[in-house]
Amino acid sequence: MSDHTALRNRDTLAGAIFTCLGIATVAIGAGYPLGSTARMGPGLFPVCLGIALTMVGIAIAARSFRGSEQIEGIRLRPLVSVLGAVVVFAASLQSLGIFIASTLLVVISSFGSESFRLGPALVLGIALATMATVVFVWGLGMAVPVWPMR
Amino acid sequence: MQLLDNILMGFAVAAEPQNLLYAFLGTVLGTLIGVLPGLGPAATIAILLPATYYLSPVTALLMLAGIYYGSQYGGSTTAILLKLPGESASIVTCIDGHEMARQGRAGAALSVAALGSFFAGCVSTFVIVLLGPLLTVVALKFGNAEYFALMVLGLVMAVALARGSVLKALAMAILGLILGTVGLEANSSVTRYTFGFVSLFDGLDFVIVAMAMFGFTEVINNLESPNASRVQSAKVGRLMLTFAEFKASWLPVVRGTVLGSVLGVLPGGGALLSSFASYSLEKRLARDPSRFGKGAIEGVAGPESANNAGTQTSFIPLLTLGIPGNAVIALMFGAMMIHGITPGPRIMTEQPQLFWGLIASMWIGNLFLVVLNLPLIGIWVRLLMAPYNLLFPAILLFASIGLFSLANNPDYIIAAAVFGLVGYVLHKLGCEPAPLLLGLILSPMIESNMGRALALARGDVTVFVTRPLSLAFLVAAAGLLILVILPSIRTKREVAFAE
Repeated sequence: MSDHTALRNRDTLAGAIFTCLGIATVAIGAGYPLGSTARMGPGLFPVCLGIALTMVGIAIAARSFRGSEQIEGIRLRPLVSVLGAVVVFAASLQSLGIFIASTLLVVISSFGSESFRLGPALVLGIALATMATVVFVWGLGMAVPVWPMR
Repeated sequence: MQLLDNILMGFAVAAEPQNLLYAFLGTVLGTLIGVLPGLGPAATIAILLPATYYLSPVTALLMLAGIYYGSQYGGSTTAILLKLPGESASIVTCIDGHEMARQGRAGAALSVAALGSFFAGCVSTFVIVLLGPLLTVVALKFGNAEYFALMVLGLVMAVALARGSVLKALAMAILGLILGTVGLEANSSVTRYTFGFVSLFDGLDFVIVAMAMFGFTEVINNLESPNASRVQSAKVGRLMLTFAEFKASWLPVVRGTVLGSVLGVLPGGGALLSSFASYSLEKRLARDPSRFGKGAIEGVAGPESANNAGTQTSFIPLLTLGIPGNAVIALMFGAMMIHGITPGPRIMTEQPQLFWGLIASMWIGNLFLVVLNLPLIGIWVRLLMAPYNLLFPAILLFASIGLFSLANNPDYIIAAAVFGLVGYVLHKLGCEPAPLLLGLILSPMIESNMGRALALARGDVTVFVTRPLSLAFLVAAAGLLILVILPSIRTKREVAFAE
């Protein structure tokens, strides 16, 4: 197995990540007072868990050498569209108001779908934005501006 | 006749107009998301949690519960008509249910699923009534060690039932436990793993993680691999069961109900385990097992009843012991905490309207669901045609608004986006989110029980194995873990999931 394949190997990567997380947990956790078994300190539980995670991580990575599946198709478009849309919404909610923020979220996230067309997405966006404004701001009294603040 | 008094009080609570309305709303919503693939009860409940702030605790719980058991009814519809499990427990129904549809017997399959589920719903409600008070008495005798051991068992069961590699599920559970330690530790005032972020002092809000991993990540996954197969939709046809069909299915329904009721109570139990177990049981008991996979009605009757019974009885550990057995119940647990109710054995005495109201509402809910699912099946079928493209932006919008409303702070949305990314990466690596969520929610309780048990035993670690009940739970947990890791069982498990 070439190094290149090993990196794309699901289990190796998973095992490596878990092992690192486990070690990090122990490293940071050991900095907190451990206490004794009679009086558990804040560090004891996380350190035990970290050790356990490290062991499981190593086990996963070890088993991966007996062959495992490759990572399947990472497609950036849905990932970026969905998360990007949500982040844009968060950033613009209080400055641009819920109507524009919602429309942006809908249009940007719609881009994540193969059958994206700007026209229908905009219509959907405006429809959902209207619904959101009516239900959440006028109906439930959410403390958020509807239109951009000047 | 205290029991009768309690039941009557429960019905009085459940029949209050607001409770009736929201329970109905919950069941409709549950059926809807059960029918729509790509949106499950966990995601829906997570997304609606902020919305329930405006409701009274009882009303909120009735609605959320309605979503959960309602989704089991709805999930069978897509499974039978489109061979698409609308909900993970409906996977088994896809096998024989869709074959029946192909043979023009979709109506019969739908009927048997709905009626079997109703029977199971009624019986399991009854089981809760009987078992609930009994278990509460037992639970009051539980000490910290027992609680600790039981929660460990629950976590292990969730790991054993997770799809894919057991080791990865185990890692997820442990990671969840670790994430649960983030924040201010009560006894020592030490802030753990906060890296100076003040917003982390209160810990990681499980709602954020749940919405991110069950909501955002799910949407991304669905967009990556769209379900092209809408073509296979079958005609519904005649709904009434023939006498022969009824004769063939009534015993599986009863067996499924019993199996589901038992398995649902177990830590980690619920719809999924029950439906799988029922299918295996029916296949083994059938006079002609080769019929399974070709449209055997027993393959629908049994599992559909079992998953409904399992769903409802999985509330029992929550209401009596105060321990969530699976991810969805964990969300209910969280919902109760949000509303200021601490789940535990005292719920029955301190919040009787909640306990008995929920039970009565479940029964009423099942009634709603039979009506919704049989005569109104046409509406749901038409809804299946709704393109996902309209749905998912709405889901994202609703979730984001919900996240904002948790603290009027858009940072929560960003946090969820981060966890959405994490969830995506983990999914690509073949890891299931459910054990992580369960670990996250159980972590504080596991740690505090462990601490107190050890403190009472003055540091003697063997306390967990010298107390009989605690020992029993831990042995079961260890045994189960070893069992699923063993190669022979592992292949059987993979085959079962692959089916």
